[in-house]
Amino acid sequence: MRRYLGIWVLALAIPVLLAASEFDSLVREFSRQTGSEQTRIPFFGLARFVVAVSHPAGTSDLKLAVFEHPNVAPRDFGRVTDQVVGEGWKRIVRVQSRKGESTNIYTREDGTHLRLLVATVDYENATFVEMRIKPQELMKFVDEHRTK
Amino acid sequence: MKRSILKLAIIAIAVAPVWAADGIKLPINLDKLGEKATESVDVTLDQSTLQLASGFLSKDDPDEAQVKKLIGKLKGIYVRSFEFDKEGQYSMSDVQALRAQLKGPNWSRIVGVKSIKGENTEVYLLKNGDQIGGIVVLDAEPKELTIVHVDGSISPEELSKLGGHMGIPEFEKEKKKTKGDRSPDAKDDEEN
Repeated sequence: MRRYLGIWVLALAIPVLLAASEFDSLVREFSRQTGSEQTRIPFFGLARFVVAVSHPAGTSDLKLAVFEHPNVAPRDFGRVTDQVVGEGWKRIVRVQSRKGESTNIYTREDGTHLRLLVATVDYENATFVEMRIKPQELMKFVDEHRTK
Repeated sequence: MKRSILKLAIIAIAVAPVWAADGIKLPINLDKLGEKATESVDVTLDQSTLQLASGFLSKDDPDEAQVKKLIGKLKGIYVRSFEFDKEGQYSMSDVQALRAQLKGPNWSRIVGVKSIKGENTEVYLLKNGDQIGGIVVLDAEPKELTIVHVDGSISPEELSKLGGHMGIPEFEKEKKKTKGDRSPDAKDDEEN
């Protein structure tokens, strides 16, 4: 029984691990262009696994990369992220503040899902979050929590 | 103030329908304002993005079908907003290129609000036969400039049915809430 459970867990984990490659290359490219080093987040792999299994708010995959004290000016952050995310992504939102904050949201189609990439920088951190979502379920989640 | 603009944008979209064939272009010099602004917001949902979103909606679910129908008629939704720390960091000449496009024969200015505080709000509609072909909202304040451009056809009836979905407020509930709301924003709206 345990062996079957192990196979099942592995079967679920493999697609998650393989799908990380594109995001990883994006993160590596950001690191290369800015000379910043990615901060390791303990147990984030476990969090990803939980998301992959439970699909909260229609999210079936979650990736996160954090750079502490990134070597990039907030003014240049949008330009750099536009470069590193590549052509497959479409930017839908850009917010820039002279106080040193910048947020960029990109989207792309992924079969029956949608991928959202949020890239943000503030005084101390640059953060990349990528989510694979089912838009219908996300909308339902938003609607349900709006009425509460 | 942000809430006021948001409300204005929602109302504007509700009042309008379609952004017509002769769409407008946002002036390039608006991007330069971003360098002077303390905060700038750029939302770009072009037709392909809207179609992408529409593709995920089911025809079988009544709510989703309604949203799908509505999005299918839109060509784009664009928002540019700039906040400045001092007055006089932009002038109306900065948006003159946009205003010039709104003086065409098919465009009508349906709302113009000026206040002694220096706030200036205008709503323009594009007529496309019996329908409305698009809408532009210009909100210019001493330290803030916001432009909302909805390109595509949408009827007020269809839009009202979207209330309560996709994070869009239910209009009846929102009206009741506004009556009892004594927040600074609400007072500001009433004064204006």
